[in-house]
Amino acid sequence: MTKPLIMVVDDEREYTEKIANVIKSVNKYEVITAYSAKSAFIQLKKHRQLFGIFNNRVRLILLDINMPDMDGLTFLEEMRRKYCGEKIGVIMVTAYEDEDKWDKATSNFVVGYITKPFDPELLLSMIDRFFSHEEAYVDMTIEVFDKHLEKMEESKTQPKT
Amino acid sequence: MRILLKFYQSINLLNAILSFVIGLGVLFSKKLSKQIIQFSLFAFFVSLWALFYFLAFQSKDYYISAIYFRTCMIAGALILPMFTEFVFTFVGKKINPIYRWLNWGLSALIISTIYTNYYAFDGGPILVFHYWPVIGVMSFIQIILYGINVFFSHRELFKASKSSVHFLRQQAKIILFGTSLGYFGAATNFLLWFKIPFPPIFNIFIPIYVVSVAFAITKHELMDIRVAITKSVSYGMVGVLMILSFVIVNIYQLSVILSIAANSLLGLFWAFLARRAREFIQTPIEEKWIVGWYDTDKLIIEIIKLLIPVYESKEAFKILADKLIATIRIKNIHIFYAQKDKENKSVKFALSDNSCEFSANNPLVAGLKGVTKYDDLSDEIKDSTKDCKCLKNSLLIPLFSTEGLEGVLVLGPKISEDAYDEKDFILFRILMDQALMVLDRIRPYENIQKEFEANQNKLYKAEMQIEKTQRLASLGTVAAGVAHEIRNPLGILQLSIAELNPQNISNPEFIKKFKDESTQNIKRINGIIHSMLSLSKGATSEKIAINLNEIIDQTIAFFVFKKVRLAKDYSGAPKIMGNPEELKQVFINLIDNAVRAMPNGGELKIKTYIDGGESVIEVFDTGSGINKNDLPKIFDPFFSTRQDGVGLGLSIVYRIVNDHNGKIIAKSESGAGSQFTIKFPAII
Repeated sequence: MTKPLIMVVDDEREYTEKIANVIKSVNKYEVITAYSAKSAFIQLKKHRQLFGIFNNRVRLILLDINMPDMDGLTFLEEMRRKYCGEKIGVIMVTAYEDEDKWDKATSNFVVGYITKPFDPELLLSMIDRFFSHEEAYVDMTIEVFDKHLEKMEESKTQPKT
Repeated sequence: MRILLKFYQSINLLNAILSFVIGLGVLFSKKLSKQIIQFSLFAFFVSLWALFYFLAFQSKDYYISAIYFRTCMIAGALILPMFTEFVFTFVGKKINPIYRWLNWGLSALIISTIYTNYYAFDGGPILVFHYWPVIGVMSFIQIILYGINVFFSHRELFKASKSSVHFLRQQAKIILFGTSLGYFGAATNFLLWFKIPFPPIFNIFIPIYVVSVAFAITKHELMDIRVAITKSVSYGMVGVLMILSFVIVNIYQLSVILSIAANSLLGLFWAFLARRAREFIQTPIEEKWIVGWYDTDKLIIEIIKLLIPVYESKEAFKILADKLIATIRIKNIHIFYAQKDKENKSVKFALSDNSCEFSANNPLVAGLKGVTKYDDLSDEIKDSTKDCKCLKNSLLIPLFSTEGLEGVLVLGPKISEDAYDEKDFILFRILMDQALMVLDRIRPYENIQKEFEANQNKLYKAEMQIEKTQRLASLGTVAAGVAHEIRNPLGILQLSIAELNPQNISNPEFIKKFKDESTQNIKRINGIIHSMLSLSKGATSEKIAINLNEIIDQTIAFFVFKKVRLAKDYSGAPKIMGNPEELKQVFINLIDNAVRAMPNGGELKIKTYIDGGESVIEVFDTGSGINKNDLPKIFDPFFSTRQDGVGLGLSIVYRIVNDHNGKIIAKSESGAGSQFTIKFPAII
């Protein structure tokens, strides 16, 4: 059985390589990197199977929000449109300041958020969970939605100062 | 021949009355002093002498004439030692006691023999005089006494006229002039005694003698003798011309009507012309003759003209002082300015260099009401201000406004060392009045100016505060970018640490890589924090050589561009002398504005190049642009078209660019984007 393929998308090369190394170090996953949204699309296209009838070989994308040219959110939106039939999990690698942008990400079905800087163990556990069983993709997506709804409730009850 | 006698008699009568009046006048015009008393006595003796002289020839009786004549000689004998006494007092010397005793002794001796033949024998008629004595022994002694006194008084006066005390010198010259004339005139009396047929007509000089001496000791301080002379000359000349014109008109035997017409025409003519003609003659003579001469009217008009545009009392004083120095030729002028407290009350008076000051209740300034000579002040006041050297021998002109004393002009002596005369005093009094007007006019402006400056200060402080706030606000906009910037190296560090494990910890290659990476990332974080802090702190003024491209790159790092596409077009390395933090602020504000102008995306283009001696940066955006009407106002503080804008961003940009000797030009069209061009002087 081939190892699942994970793509790390971040404009910061050094950081991208580091994340890739962390994932590689557990020897369970294959990792590819992309330094921009554009090259990420190229990679996705490259790893299509039978013109998209089968799932894309890229199962999980670790996506940075803050990128020049096309940011992570736009990429996500575009990707969901282009590869709507394909089940590709997305973990947003982001910062707390970008929380207000999470609506958009959440509505495009992400399986989790991880805030920079992060503990590699946390990332690995999220990845492990994602690949643990078929339903994990759905579970995690729903969890994200739930959390998001909770947060919205909170902000409603707490009037803005 | 009768005319000669009449002339002679009228001279004597005139002399008697004039001398008496002058003697009395001097006695009552000034504070009594030894000098004044001596002069008055002298004048009275002269008056007596002239009176008895007059009486002697008024009487036809031989014996009465003889007695009057001899009585007249008593006064004559008293005049000589008295005048010498006066001269010595005047020059401030002690008279030699031997000389004094000799002088008065001889005088007494002469007087004691005056009615005897020792003094003179009664003689017969000579020339027009029906009585004239024949010389006796004592007469010779009187002539000797005369010679002695002529010698001593002239010697002392001559010495005094060369003295260094300017005031005394001027007086002495006048007295010397009068004395010479007087003694010369008196000497003509002796000729007839020796049967020399020359009438003593030069007695006419004696009134001149008395008048000039009186003038010297009383009026001299107030009026320049040269002014007196020029005045008399010009009045005299005009008078002569007037009389001549009437004589010429009336010399022809005209008919009554014609004569009346001619005379009245001439009268009208002179009524119109007399004053002008006198001035026409007087002015050029005075101008030529008197150093530091000025036309009071002209000078005042000039000063008033100069004071019209003045709105500060200090400046007004300075103009007054400069003008006085230039026209009256004064050695030096010091100005004491009133320094006021918050309630606008004068607190103290001080020179502009603060070298000399006294409080407002100092007796000197408190008692100052008009133009005052420092030497006339009481010793107590002099004592309290003796530290001020500039006050010595000075003239104080207080300058008032209706609120009180505003300043004091301290005039030193004139360059010519003449005393200030009456004309000067009149001028100073007019200037005081003018100063009152000017100062009253100025005062409200000064108050407004003070308030304005205070407000300006407050405004400036507020502006600085707002600028700081604005800086912090723009810090807020960049904070997100900064956080991103920091998080990346932090993430790398964390992951690097996670890579550490027992296996690779002994691998030197790994450790080296680990170290390098960590150090580099820590440096990166440090750099970001440093630039953020420098933004919030406000800039230092230190300028260093910097590459604009680097500064722009560092600034861009603060921003998160979402929809906006950034295009950089750098050519060459435009270097300038500048403050990196301030310049970063410039680019932050410009880029921030550009990004906000393109809420729906667009292109932000930053172009740099070197053009001649200038480093040029162009920032283009394809945003909403600036309204044509707003374009001239965009650099004004507090001008903003955004609802959330404070309106300081571009004004800060403008200030900073200005501080760097740069220029900033904005071009924009509504809806078609904006272009900001900044030009700095380049360095190589």
